Amino acid sequence: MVLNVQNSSNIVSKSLALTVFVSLALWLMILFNFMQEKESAAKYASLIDASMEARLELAYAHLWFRRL
Amino acid sequence: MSGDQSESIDAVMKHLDNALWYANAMLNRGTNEKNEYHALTDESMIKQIELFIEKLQVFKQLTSERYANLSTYYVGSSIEQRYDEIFESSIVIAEEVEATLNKTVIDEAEKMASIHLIMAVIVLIFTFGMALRIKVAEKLQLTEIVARQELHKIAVISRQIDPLTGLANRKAFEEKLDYEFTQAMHKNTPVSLMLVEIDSFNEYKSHYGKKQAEKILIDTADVLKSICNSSSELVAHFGINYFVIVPTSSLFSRRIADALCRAVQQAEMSNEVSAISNSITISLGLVEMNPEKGIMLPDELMMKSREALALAKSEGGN
Repeated sequence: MVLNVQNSSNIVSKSLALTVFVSLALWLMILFNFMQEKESAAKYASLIDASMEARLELAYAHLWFRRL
Repeated sequence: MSGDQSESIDAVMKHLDNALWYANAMLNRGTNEKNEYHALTDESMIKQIELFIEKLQVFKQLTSERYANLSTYYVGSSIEQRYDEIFESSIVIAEEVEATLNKTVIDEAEKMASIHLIMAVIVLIFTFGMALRIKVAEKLQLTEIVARQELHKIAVISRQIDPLTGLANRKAFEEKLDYEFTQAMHKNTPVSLMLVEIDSFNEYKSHYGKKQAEKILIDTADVLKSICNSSSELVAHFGINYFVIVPTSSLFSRRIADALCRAVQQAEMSNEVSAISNSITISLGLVEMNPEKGIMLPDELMMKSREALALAKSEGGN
């Protein structure tokens, strides 16, 4: 039986270090994802708004002309 | 042409210009008082908006033409038909683009939800895995510490054991003698020491060989152990063919000495080279120190026991 208490201590400290590192990486990924989502939502909301406005303006023009 | 009509056509043109502005904003970005508009990136939607702009321009032109010919206007004219057709197709294009954008938003939201779910699962699996790993490592660490302690104990014991006979070694004997001497001085009680030697051992070894001689040492050690089995007594392998017992009971030491000699003889370990007997015999040197009568240091005790043994041997051994 090979005894190495140092080795198992290393496993614990390495595991903790890995946990901290991966947790940080995951938090960064979540933050990046959140930013992307926010940007994407702003972009598509403005595009939908613009297409709706264009359609409405055309419809108003058509209605105004009917009044003539 | 009345003032109302000119105002209305201005309003129509203004709405058309606004529609054109929004369409262009969708292609090249744009900002007004309401919002900041991002540009499209999807190629198919860009083409649809370009088509929408073309149709708007045609619609604007047709509106101007219709306005110029309002006096000759009649229902069902080709200009009116084209005008309505262009309007409807433009509205359809705008609705299609809007529907595509809505679908894209829903798709993006679903994609993000899937990514979040996958990340949550990864975090859960990872956390569980790490917790398990740490738990196992801690358990392993604990097992290793216990095993180390055991090994340490074994090492301490093995340093005090004679590997051949399994008896205590010289070091253990010396420690025990020091301890017993201190106790005797402290409690003012006697302490005795018995030195045992196998008779004619060197001759036996020369005749029977090293292996057989070692066997005799082991057998003799077993006999000594079986007689001196008290937890307070220590039987040690002191030298090549010497054993030592400490402390022997001062009251029964002579009886023990006789019992040892008999037991060794009864073990019937054959010895053809001995001048004393045809089996293995032992000689003993017994010495006692009583603090009330006089103090003997451990070294002196050893020396006296040697002298006693030498005397026993000089008187024929056994």
